[in-house]
Amino acid sequence: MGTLLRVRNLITSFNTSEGQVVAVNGVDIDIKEGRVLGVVGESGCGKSVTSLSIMRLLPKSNGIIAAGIIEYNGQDIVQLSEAEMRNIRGNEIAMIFQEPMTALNPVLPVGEQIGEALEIHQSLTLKSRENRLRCIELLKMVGIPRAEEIVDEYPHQLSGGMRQRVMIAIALSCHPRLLIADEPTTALDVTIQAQVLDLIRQLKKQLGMAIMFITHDLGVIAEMADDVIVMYAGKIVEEADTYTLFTNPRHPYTQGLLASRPDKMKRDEKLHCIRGMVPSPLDMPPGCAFAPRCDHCLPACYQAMPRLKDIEPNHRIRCWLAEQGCNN
Amino acid sequence: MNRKLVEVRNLKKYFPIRGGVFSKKIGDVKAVDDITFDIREGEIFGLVGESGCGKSTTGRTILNLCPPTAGSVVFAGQTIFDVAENTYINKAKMQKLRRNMQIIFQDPFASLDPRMSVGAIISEGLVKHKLATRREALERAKELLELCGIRYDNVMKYPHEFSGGQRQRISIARSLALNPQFIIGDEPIAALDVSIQAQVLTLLQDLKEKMNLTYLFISHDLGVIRYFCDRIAVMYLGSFVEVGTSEELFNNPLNPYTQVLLSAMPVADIRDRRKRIILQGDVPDPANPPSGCKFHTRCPYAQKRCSQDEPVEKRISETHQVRCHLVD
Repeated sequence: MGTLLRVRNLITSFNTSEGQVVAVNGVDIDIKEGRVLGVVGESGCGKSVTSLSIMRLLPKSNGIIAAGIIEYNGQDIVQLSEAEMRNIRGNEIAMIFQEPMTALNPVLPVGEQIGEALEIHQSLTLKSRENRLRCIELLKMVGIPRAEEIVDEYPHQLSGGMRQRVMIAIALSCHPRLLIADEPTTALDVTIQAQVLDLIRQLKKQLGMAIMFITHDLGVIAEMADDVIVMYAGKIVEEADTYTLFTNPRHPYTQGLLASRPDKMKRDEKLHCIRGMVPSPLDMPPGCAFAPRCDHCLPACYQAMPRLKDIEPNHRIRCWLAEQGCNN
Repeated sequence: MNRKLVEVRNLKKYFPIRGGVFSKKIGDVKAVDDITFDIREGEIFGLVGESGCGKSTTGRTILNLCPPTAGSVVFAGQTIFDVAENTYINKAKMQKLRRNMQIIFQDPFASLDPRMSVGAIISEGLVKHKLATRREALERAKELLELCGIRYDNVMKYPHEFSGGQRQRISIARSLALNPQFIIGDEPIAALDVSIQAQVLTLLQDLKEKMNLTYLFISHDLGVIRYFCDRIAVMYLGSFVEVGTSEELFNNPLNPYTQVLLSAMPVADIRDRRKRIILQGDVPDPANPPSGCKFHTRCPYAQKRCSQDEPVEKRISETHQVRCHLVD
């Protein structure tokens, strides 16, 4: 299968009053057609900024893609003009955001918000009959009951789960080949989360798009992803297929994250804690960013950042332990 | 068995809905609808359910932070209120009792006064209850900070200088200042990153041992609830549908809602991609709950009588109770 999205050495930074903050620091990503790539990490690790860079939706005032290429279908979209980008955004690559309340416009009926994308990319005039029918069809596809009525309702009349379904309908309205889902179920209750995850899985099967699934929840990753990248402080620290990552995690950070969840823990066992906290992007430690929190730290860890190294086919980690051939 | 610390009997809390020109009462939101339970000394009692099921309101009503509609709460032998007997604790006594019962809130960004130093926040209770002079209270604040894993020399800093996890530690330190017996944690780790969640959970465990605490732990996260709590109540639309020890509830869930919640929980284990029970629809409006068993509208096993009769509580064992027509 072909590579749909190829990101190389992406560096995204923000100018803040306290100085330049590098949020994404040299990230490489490959998403193959029809695959689900899970991106996992804690807040501030750069997972959302990576997705916003791909969509070219960084805040204009201070966010810049400082270096790197983002190749979509063989074309470097970093170089595209805003008008050319608009052709891709929402049409070829679509996105679902975390907060379905803030992502929808409260003063427009949901039908108009879906129809907008159809007008721009599929020249179905807004408020035309075909446009409306297509909106209803999309609402039905995402499992919304009474679609003929809901199409004229406003976001505040819908529950959180329904709003997220509307978001998905908007995102899928133009049959994107790549869907970026940024924490799409984080704001939802567990039973509703299960519904929405199931819906995304079904629609993927039906429409065959590739998905970049961003979340902090390893449980959701285990459920949804084919391949996983784990990010920490703006860099990828581990990359593998989902099975390998969960059965044989090799980076101390991934191991720590997995051990922090009490899901499989006996009640009298102590949780494993990663000590300390994520370093401030304004004050990164020299060497490996995880070194101050790591239990397997070597002297080398404080001096230089290790490379992302293959340790077996399709499994790479960024760790001095791997560089030095130690087994951890 | 330890003695009962908190005894809740037939507790109800309705919020009136007002409408019309004269803001007449036109209905009730039945946030808490007839719940009965005990918490024994040294126990961790968990409340789990989806948003809007009344778990936070239960906590607040027990602490007498909002007036009850019906029922009684007895804390350490002292009646806080008994609506049927029309007895309510007087203000002075309640104030004294408050030393023994504290609460930790979910959002550490909203629950700390941004204009007070950490020292002032933690020592406020001591000064208010005239248990210490300002100087003594500040010394105590330093001890408490250290106990909660923050260096004592941070005592003059302000909340904005801390990360979310650190702020939650400060909230915990504040709740401990008056040497309480009983602490309610209202989603105390929900807003934190995975690795920080593990840290705070471990801190709560350690403090419980050190200070002989009893917790009411409110959470929507079943993985955390299972691991952390001794006994658990599952709430749906203001009622308990099942109560049991962690083992009983997770190894032998009897109410379909408990089963659904367990099956919806994403688990970070690739070998555990289970078949899920996916619920249809959303939680019904608590102002207009369904007749009979409140869960019957979404229950995969609902029968005719479920929509007619309210199920009564069935005792499976000394500790395990369930409300469901299908359990014999």
